[in-house]
Amino acid sequence: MMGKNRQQIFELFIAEKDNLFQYASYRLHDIKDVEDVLQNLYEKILSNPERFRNVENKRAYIYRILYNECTNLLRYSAKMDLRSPELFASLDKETLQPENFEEEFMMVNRLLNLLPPEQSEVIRLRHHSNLSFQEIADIMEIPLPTAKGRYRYGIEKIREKLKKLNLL
Amino acid sequence: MDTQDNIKSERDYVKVVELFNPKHPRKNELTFSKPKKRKMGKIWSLGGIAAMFAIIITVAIKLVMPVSAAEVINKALSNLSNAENVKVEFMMRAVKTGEDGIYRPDLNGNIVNGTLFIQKKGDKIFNRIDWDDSERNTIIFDGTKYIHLKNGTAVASHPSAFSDELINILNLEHQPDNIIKESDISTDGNTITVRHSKRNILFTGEFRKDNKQLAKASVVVTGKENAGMVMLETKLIDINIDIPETMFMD
Repeated sequence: MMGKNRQQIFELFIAEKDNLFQYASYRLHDIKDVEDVLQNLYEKILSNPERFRNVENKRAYIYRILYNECTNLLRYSAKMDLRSPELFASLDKETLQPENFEEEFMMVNRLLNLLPPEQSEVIRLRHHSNLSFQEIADIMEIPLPTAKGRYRYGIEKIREKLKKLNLL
Repeated sequence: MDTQDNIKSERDYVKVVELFNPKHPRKNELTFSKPKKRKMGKIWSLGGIAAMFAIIITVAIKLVMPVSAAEVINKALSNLSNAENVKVEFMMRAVKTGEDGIYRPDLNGNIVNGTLFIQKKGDKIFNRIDWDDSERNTIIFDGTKYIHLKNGTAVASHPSAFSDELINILNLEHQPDNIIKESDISTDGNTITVRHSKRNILFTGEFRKDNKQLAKASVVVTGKENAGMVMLETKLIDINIDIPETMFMD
């Protein structure tokens, strides 16, 4: 029998699970890593429901932990490095029209790795977690205009790079 | 011409935005219903040096060991557990995780020195780590939240369960039995050494017989690659020193 707090946590995770899943998928790629990170996140929150109950912005709290868990996992695993400038220079029009998740993951990360983390994170949260700029600002603890600005600068930077490669 | 350029730029901007809208999202079959074994080692997910000390201490106290060694270690750990204040100076091979002031152990990182302060007040445990880095970063976990200071000034604060994690790991009932079987104890003169290996990492705790104190703790890599690389080593462990409560406030 699940307690009231635990039931509320479970319901929150079920309501949010698609957004959490897509965010983690486009960051980590490996489906086992994605499942592990999300399950760990769930169990971490569940291990102290009283504390979670007192958290004011629960969504922001969950996404902050998820971001950290994904970052840690990537740091300690020998994943492919998509930051190489050569990888970006080898982009072509075909690459920008992915036909499956694998191709789309590669494309997204090759593009986002051009940006500083604070800009790429806003883009990820906006597109993969389907969050509003206000929610992103809450999660990242930054003013709303800063969240919008980081998004705009990030997209602009990618636009300029793609333009130089005649891909737009 | 400028207007045309602007229109083209705006169109291109929209095209780039469009690239990030998921077109082939994965099917999500996660249920969150079944408890599952964690894949990531807890030592890495805790994100703090204090957790490593806690692991060493907890491993040691749970061991099945010769009576004389057990007495020394139990007394030493009891002293440490009951100490109101603990100060540990240490070095760690680490990288800084963004702007949060937290360093995490990393084989590719640099050596950073730090001082850990732990203060117990009733059921509460306060932690503070002063990093000896150019920004003079300090992190504080005051039981309910994380506080980040730079050069003595608070720059960030948010809710954190770190202290709870530390309490959980210090709770002896949480220590898995297999750790007992996998540990090794040796005695040499005044020193009793406890070694525990886990995932290519060797945790070592050195206890002194005469004053019944934990004297040194270390974490060293034992895997094929980077074998012998010291990830963490204490320089000084001091208990019951005077630590003002204000050190755990922002």
